[in-house]
Amino acid sequence: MTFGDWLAAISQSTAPAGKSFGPHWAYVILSLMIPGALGLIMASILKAVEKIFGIKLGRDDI
Amino acid sequence: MTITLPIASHWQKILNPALARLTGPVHGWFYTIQANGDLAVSLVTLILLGFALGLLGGLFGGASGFLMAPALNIVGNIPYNVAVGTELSLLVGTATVANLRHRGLGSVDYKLGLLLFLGGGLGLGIGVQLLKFLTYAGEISLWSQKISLVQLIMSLIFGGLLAWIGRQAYREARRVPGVESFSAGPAPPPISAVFRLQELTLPPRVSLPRSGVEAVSLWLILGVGAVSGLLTGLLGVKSSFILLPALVYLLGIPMFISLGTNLFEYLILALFGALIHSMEGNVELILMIILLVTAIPGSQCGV
Repeated sequence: MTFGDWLAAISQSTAPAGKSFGPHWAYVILSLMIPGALGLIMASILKAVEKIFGIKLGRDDI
Repeated sequence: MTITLPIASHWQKILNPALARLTGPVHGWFYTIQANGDLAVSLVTLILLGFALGLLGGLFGGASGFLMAPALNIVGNIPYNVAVGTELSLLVGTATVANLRHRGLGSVDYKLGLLLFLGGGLGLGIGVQLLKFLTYAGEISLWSQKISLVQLIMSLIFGGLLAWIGRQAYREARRVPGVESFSAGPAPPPISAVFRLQELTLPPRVSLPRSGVEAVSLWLILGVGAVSGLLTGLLGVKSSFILLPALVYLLGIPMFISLGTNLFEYLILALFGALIHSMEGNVELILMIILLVTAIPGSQCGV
């Protein structure tokens, strides 16, 4: 099972058909952790690029 | 190459019951609805879209947030509730980057940020419930075509907002510096109304020593937070365009501290929003990852 398949599996509703969406606990946690972790990694990469190339990148986000 | 979006597929089947009667796949320009109702979107399109939205964000300072949900809906046929929830989860990432890159400037009033979050959390909760209500509101007939109510209302809201932003940008572009009579810019802020609100003495009043504010009504801070939180919860956009002017003009916070506090409050609000939207099943994880890793480099190219 690939990471994408696993993400797809935990994104399925645990509630019976016809009921409101029932989230898997891993889905809720990853909705917060993945963007936080990726943000951390991206910020580190941007900082490294600034150091290596001696440039000043923008500080705005989207 | 396409990727199947499980959350968007789930909601699409609820919003469009007619999909259950599909006899074969339906092809859009950038997406395919499989015979079983699953939605598959072109990966290249999503990568280009994320990069383009980041680029616009870098060029215009965050205004691309208003484009993301409608763009995902139009390009990928992604339901609005999923587009908004995914955007809020993505904003956790962009807010993390922004906070880390502004770290060390010492410009955050944490007390103010937490108070704003109290109001913002409430507003955000209302916004998410409004979106949920619209999502389950069913379909209406429009010119002999059935359309889900959430699709109609959200399209109208985003359409109106984008038209307003476009009008403001056009008026700004037409403005000639130094020529007062030719200025077609926005009307000056209603100073009297601002002063009236600033003088609001409704208790309890709180002091904000870090921001140099002696006493301000707590209700004013909560109200400002609630309005920005409502917009964030309902539309998934960063509401700095309301929060920053309100902090500076209404609460009298120095611009330097307003910027840092806005970023701090925005991170915890985005976390809270992502939590609530994920509990409702509105966050498409795969889509969020693709958009995040493409939008951030895009935003750096647009600076």
